[in-house]
Amino acid sequence: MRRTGTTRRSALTATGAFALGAVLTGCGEPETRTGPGGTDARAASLRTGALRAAAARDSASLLSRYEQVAAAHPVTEPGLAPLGATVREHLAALGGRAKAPSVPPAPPAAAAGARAALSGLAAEERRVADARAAALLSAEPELARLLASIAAAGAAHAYLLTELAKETPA
Amino acid sequence: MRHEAGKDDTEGTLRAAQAALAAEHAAVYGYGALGGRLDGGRRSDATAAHDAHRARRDALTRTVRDLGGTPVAAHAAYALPFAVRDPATAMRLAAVLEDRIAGVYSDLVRAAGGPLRQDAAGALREAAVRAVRWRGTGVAFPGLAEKTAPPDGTAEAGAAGVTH
Repeated sequence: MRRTGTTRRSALTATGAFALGAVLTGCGEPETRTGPGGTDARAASLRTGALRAAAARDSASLLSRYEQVAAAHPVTEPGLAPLGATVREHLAALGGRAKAPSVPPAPPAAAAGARAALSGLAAEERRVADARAAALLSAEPELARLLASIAAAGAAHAYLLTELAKETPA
Repeated sequence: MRHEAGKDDTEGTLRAAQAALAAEHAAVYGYGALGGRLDGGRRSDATAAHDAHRARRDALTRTVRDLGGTPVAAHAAYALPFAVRDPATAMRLAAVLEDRIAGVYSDLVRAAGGPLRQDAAGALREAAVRAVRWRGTGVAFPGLAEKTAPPDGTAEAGAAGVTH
């Protein structure tokens, strides 16, 4: 493997020869779309608000599912806690609020064994990620980027939940 | 290049596609460098990821041409952010590569519309899942550097392109 000296690397940085470094800092270009403010802009703004609200509702529902499964199957709680915390971050980024904690009727996923509950949660994460992937196609650019990231995180959760299910006694 | 509707949009899309292509070149190089340090199932995972990044690279090359650009070329070699000596460092590099890939695709999602946006979102999702497979844990916002602290402090090191 080729290793490059610091001096050379610095020189490359100075001349802008970074390959990965340069592309990775490309997130600092917020698109300021100052439209004419006509009905199109108004409709777009309404659509953005509706998409964001729907995405927030999905996150709130997911969060409830996490809480229900952890409550019904304490053995899953340590594994679910960090994932639930992430879903809470998604909810906040979408401008939503968590549902008031309640004692809901046990949903099908929580009624089953711990392993089945985790698998059900994984399926739910995947379903929501798919829904976000579809919704982002009609979203304004910044919201599309956020939804794509949250959908990707959800797909990663589905993977982690599936792994967690394998390690959990049925 | 399309001039009729939104020349700025096309240029922004092209820039983001070129950035993604450059990152895919680096990922292809990186997986080539790290694969040899892994065995068994991990080796197979790295091979599959290597193939996936090659396919994305080829697709982006076509995309850049379709947008009227000249696809950026791969560097002959890339300086890796840290030495890959063993399976642990190989897996850490793979995770870093996927983080970087996620970053460029989130920008492409923002810059593109239609099928290209859809593809970019799919690529972001795949990168996020692979990053979790390599690292064992995820981040809250894959690809959004402004919301994500670098998990292992290597964000600034980057894999620097070395032209010979």
